[in-house]
Amino acid sequence: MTASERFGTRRDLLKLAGAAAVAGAFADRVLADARGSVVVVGGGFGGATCSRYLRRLAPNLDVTLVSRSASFVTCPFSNTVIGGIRNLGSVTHGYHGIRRAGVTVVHDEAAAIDAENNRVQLSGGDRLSYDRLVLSPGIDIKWAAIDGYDEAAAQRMPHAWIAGSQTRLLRDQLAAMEDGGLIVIAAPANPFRCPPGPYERASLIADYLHRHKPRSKLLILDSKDGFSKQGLFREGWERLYPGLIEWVGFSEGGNVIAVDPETMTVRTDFDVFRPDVANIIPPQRSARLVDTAGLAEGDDWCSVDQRTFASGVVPNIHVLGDAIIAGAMPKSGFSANSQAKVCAHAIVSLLAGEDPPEPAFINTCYSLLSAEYGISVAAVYRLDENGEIASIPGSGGVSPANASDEFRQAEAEFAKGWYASITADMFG
Amino acid sequence: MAPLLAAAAVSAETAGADESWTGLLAEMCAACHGQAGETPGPVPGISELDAEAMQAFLIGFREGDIEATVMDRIARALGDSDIEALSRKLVEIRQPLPGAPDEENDSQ
Repeated sequence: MTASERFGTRRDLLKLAGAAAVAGAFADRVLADARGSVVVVGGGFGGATCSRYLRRLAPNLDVTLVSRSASFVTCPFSNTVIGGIRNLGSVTHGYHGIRRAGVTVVHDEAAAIDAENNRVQLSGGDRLSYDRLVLSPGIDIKWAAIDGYDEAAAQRMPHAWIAGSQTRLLRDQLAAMEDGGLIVIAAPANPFRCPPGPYERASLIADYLHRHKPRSKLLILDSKDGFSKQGLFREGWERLYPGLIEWVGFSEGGNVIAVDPETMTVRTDFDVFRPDVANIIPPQRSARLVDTAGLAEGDDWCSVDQRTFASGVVPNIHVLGDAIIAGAMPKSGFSANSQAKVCAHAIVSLLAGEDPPEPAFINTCYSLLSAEYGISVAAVYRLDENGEIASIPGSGGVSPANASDEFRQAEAEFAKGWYASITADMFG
Repeated sequence: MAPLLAAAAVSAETAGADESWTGLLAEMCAACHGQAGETPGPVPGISELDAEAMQAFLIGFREGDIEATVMDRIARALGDSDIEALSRKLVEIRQPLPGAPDEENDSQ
């Protein structure tokens, strides 16, 4: 029996299953008849999910998805590419399933929002009119927040925090590095995309080094004094890669203030490092597109009504995913998928003249420490009395400490299962 | 805005506060368990479960009677009436997207 079988398999579930259930009507007729044009900008976890669910709820709705490229490389599981466990193709997804759901997919970039006339201006010249606009534009890097870290520097010291060519660059640098090299990962202060991401990345790079370049060393320079799933990561590092990863928190001088790609120098308040590979994960903000409609009001992130994801600033525009502050939810792919479903329901209700339903959200973030060692954090959320997304007391939390190898292996299996499932939910 | 507020007042009176969120909660489950309760990978599918079996699982996870990695942590968010409503809803919405590749398998 494999680990994943022990912790609940299809067969186990079937044992308890009764007669096959009869499917009922999905949504009530009023909502299913909702009509209008919805433009969704951003072809990632939020946008892909939202466009498909809008069509699922209201087949008469005219839905257009604007996605910059013909395929989407997911940030989740991109660390397995960097660590050499998977290839880039396995985390790249096309938009066929979204088209099959009746969504018009436009491969172009949204250049500006003309909120006054309910139109989106595309870089290619087209203009799209909407009754409701959904923005799930993700993040942009705050260039020069770390002195010397600009777009040119990112070609020498990749951030790899927007997956694709940056992922490939970091992977190739690691592959080219000689045994005995020093790798630095600079991790940003909160909030940022994927809070456990830098530490999963450190783990999977360590896995690669452990297997191929065991005399090398990995240093995490952190702009904060604690991080997501910290106890579990440190337990795993001790167990899998003793002595390979060193973590330096903010108070110990971990805050990276400057880099020089010419000399491959990384500078903190106290020290100067000259790594062979530098992965600089810089501070981030909502994608700059939101500024064209003043949606972030000069802030780094947008604020929205957390029941509908409607902007409090501009009417008929909804913003979701990494670009917003969503109460207690972390900036994760699962969060964006969850928010997109709530947003789709809200939009369909509003277009049908109904009250939006009571929201619910789930987030489960798996992290791999190796191909066979997984950990997770989970939470279930609903709105609190102030209309903010809050996790439900007594539920959620991280995987147990000091769990068996079998448990960690089961979570690694479910991490892969999660990835297969959620990308099917998004892309068909 | 006025009609929305009026609708909100009506729905708060007629729907149980605990059950109102389970409709959308059921949608969240699809991220791992699939829109039709079927999964392409190692996450257990739930397409063969009726509402009663679904309820038994969720209670079992919540109480720690069924071994789990993450479902115990998730089920602890749910009260008894949440579980009952959610289980019904999970069966009711079991329908893939129009045009999704596995549509032909949805033979209920």
